[in-house]
Amino acid sequence: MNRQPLTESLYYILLSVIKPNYGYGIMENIKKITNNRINMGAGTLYGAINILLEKDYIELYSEEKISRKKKEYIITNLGIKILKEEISRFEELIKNGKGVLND
Amino acid sequence: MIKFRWYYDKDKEEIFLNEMTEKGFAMTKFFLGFYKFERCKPNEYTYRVDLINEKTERELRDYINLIEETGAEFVQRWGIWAFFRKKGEFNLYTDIDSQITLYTKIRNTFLWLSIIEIFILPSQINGWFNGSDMAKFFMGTTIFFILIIIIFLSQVYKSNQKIKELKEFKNYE
Repeated sequence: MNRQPLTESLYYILLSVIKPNYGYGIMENIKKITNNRINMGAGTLYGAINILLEKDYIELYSEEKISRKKKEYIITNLGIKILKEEISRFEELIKNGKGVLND
Repeated sequence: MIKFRWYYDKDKEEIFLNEMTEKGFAMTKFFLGFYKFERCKPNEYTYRVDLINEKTERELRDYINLIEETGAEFVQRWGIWAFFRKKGEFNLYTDIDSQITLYTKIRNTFLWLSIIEIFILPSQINGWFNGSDMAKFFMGTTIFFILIIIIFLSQVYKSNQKIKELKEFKNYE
């Protein structure tokens, strides 16, 4: 595997678009699931969404045509595959860490 | 109240704007170095300046919408920069990767601007020394372009230092 590990921001954004979600909804979800630890800035989120779109990990789900243009994003199959790979990498990290410390 | 300041460094500009809100003055307009302030409660707002030159009009609209959804306000744009403010704590770039990307974009922008100025410079020097009656004018523009190039390149250097610091913090090197 020569892919770089996901950054924390990218990982949490992917977790937030399992169901269709839009910019501010993603920020709020990340804040909620990290107990306010990560209050992601709009500049960071905007850049990260573009990175994920480019990598085809997420795609545009819908766009509100009337009034404000609110874009909704959803994870792709590739995104889910990457997420699963990351989670097993985390599991390995935790298992090895705990294994050493519990000795 | 109107104040005149000339900034190339967006971090210094943010510090200036946020020091003004500490004193109860909120920036409402900018034009060519002139900042217009209105009274506000001390520390009512946090100001942020962002680079927008790589965004299309549509992307900028999306971006402003996103920022406004977080409860912040778009104050105005000025060339390659945009001013935002929000009541309370306000940060646009909250992880190191996006901060590195931001300062890399700032560095590249100033680098390109420097290169353009460097290409203009010879024509000005030529005008100064070719014996025309415009020599004085071209002497002025030559000095002006040299100054601008020095300022822009110092911004390239500063951004590079910032990127280096961030990367060291991230343990890249």
